[in-house]
Amino acid sequence: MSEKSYAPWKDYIPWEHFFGVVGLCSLAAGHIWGLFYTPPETNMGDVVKILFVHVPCAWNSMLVFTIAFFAAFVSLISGRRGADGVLAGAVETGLLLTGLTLITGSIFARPTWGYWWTSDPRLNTTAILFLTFIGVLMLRVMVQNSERRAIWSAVATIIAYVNVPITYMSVRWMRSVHQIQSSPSDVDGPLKLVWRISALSILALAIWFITRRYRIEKARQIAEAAPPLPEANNA
Amino acid sequence: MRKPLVWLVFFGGLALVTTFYPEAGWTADQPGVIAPGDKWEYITAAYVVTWVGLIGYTISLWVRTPTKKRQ
Repeated sequence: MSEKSYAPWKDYIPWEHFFGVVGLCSLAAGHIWGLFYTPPETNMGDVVKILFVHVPCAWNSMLVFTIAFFAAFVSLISGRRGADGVLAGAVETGLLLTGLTLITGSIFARPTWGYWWTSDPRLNTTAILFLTFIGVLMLRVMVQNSERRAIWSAVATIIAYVNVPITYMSVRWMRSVHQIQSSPSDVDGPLKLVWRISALSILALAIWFITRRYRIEKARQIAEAAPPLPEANNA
Repeated sequence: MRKPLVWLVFFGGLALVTTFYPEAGWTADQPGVIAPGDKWEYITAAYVVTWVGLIGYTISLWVRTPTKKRQ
């Protein structure tokens, strides 16, 4: 589709909404199953059900920030505007998932650890990750020139991404109240399946969010590149 | 400056709701000890926040996508 005739409401990727519908439906099914049809965990009881939302959000937030990192790299090297659109989508989606990770983690911490928040390597690095990517988002809002915005936000994303492996490994590198990295092998049969369904559903939703946000960014770039409207003749 | 403010209000609001909602019917725990009880107020809060976040972001994308009317 040429840029002159670009119409975002017509330009959609055929599989895009499939991911959204499947993601929402399977997430709802997984959550209903997890909430009402899985047994309580031996030590934590029903509180373990919070992990069906917390852990998939955490996994996918790191994955989505990795997509943002590669998009930033491509944007910087090639100057392709599409990469900047993917970056915008991945940063926003990653922020949403990191925000949900922080909030649901805090809700899980209160009944299990006894406090909402503590100065812990995993918690602190995740909070810093959230704040640095908020900074990337604010940078994108503040810089009006589209070329400068693409370059600056790509550089900022690459710098902010340095914290992702640190966050992931923080529970091994430092003494942490947070348990080491979770994997499906840590849990038993029915819980494992719900975990996997939730993780795949949120991944599908993340893909949907990124593609939709990409189209918004594409429309914005085209609108910014358009010549200004002629001034009204008041004479 | 409107967009950062919207995000700040969005996440700040979620943080406030999740901070204060579970206090209803709350019984104090000892740190590191899971007190008896099913803790469904926490579980409910976590799921509500997650769904509000996901649906909220979906709506925000839908509203921001240009259409024939919204160009």
